[in-house]
This record gives sequence, C-alpha cells and structure tokens, in this order.
Amino acid sequence: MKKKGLSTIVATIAVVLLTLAAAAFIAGFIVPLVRNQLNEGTECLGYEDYFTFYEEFEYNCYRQGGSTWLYGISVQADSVREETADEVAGFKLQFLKTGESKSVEVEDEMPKTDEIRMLNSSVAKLEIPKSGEVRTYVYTGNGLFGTVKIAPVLKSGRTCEITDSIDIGGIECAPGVDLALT
Amino acid sequence: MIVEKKRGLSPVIATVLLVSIALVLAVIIFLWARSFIAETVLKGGERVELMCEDVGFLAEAYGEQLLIENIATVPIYGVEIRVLGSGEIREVAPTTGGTIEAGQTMSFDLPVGISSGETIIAVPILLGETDEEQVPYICDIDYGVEAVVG
Repeated sequence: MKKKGLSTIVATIAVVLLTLAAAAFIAGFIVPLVRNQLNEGTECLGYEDYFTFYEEFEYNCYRQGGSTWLYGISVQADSVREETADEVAGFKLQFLKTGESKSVEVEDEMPKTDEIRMLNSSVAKLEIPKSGEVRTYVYTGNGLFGTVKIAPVLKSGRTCEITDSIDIGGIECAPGVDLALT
Repeated sequence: MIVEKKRGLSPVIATVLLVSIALVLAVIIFLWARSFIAETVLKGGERVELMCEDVGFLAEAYGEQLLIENIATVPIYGVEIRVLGSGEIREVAPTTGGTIEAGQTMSFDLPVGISSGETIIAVPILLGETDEEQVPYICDIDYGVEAVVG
C-alpha cells in the first residue's frame, strides 16, 4: 500500500509549532486585553461608600434668590488607606428634578466656575475632601432640584457608581445658614 | 483474527491530567479572586471597625497640649486631629505617642497651626492586626470627640 499524507515527524512538528504560535498569540494579545478589561471592571471596588453627604453641618440645603437657586452641599470622604484615596480625582454631582438633570464634576485644583464654588467664595480653586475630611460647596442653579447624587471619579477617568444621595428639594436653608461666606 | 491496536491515552493518565488541570485552574482563580477581598483587620479577635463602638475617651486641649483620658476598656493607639471650620473639617495630623490603656491619661503635642478658640475633633486610632502585621485603623469621625482649644 502506498502511504500518502504527512509523516508522523512532520505532523508532530506542525502541531508543536501551531501550539507555540497559539501560546504566543494568547500571551501577547489576549492576556493583556483580558487583564485590562478586568482592571476596568474592578477599579471601583473599595469606593462604594467613599463620598457621602455630611449632614452634621446645616449646609445641605437650598436658598432662592430671584431667578437663581443656591444649593449648599457638604461632602465627606471616607477614611480609607492613602493609596486608595490617591486614586480619586474628584466627584460628580448630579442634580435631578422631574424631566431634567444637571451634572457637575468637581476635581481637585479646578478653578471655580459660575456653577460651582467652595462655600468660602474667596477661594479661587476647588478642592476635594481628602480621606476623613469634609468640604462644603455651593452650586448655582436655575430651578429647584429635588435630589442630589454623588459619585466618585477616579484618576483613570472612570466614574464609579453613585455612593450617596440626598433629597435637597425639601430642605430650605435655615436663616442663619450663609451660603456666600467670604 | 483481527488484532485491534489501541491508541491514545490510558484512562489513568487521562484522569490524572483532568484532575491536574482542574486543580491548576482552581489555584489560579483563587489567587486572582483573593486580590479583590480586602484583608480583614482584627483587634482582640473582632473586626477593628466594630471595636470603635466600644471606644470611650475624654479630650481636652490647652495651649499646645491635647489631653486624652481613656474611660472605656479598648486601648487607644492614638488620635487623628481634625479641625472644624465653616462648612469643613480638615485633617491636620495623626498623633500617636504610645497606647493609652483603659483608665490611663496621656498628653499629646497639638500639631502646629491650631490656635486658641478653634474646635478640634479627636478621632480615635486603634491598633489592629492582619495575618502579617499590625496596622493602625482610624475610626469613623462619628466616634470622635470635640474639644475647644483653650
């Protein structure tokens, strides 16, 4: 009988070469891709309660002045390890009312804007609270928002899940609360 | 008579291979998943954050000194001093100078920059332990004690 096809040696070498090529492909392309995706999927772990609204102060409230509405927002950062806090670039505030929402991002060292500033209006740059600290901000809007939500923003650019919310629409500032400190 | 020539792996080798692959995969998944679980910090066999509830102390600040008296049973490793301002709380510095045992009183130097009349919050720091080392744990600000610098 006349034998046809590859010899056993050639077939074995071909299989070994194919395996090596597949391994090189997986190591060089698939592994970094999967690792990258996994990192993106897990980078918000540990920030589930990072920013919360601090309610011991009486600044979580609103005040109407003509057509503008001032909102005081006290934000507390959780006490976490330094390396965890170092990854936080800032936070996103979401103001919600029926049929409308407004989003404001606050990052460390960002100049104040017409929309948002620190409670002390003479402070030119915004600063975020570090681990265990509290800062108060004043947001200027053009209507009454019902709810404010907060979500951490990491240095990678990723915005994590909302960590706290407050029904600010029902809290008008007490007469002694000054939202325009200088 | 037809002689059947057997080829392929024997059932024993195939089983050993399958079990080995399963074990290697299990180890890889375990090592990967372990990195997502935060290491538990314990104190006296309990999670250190739960021990914060049992902390009790008095704080008084005069001049450049902060006096801490431990009035509960949990030893306090130190305090983190935060300054209460208008609409803000600023962290100044952690202050540790030895563990304050139950009933003991210890004084600390107040960090520079705190002046008379300011309100500070002394937040307790406990010394917990992981499998490998002892780590300080800062309790939540709710467990802190306010004091006006006299």
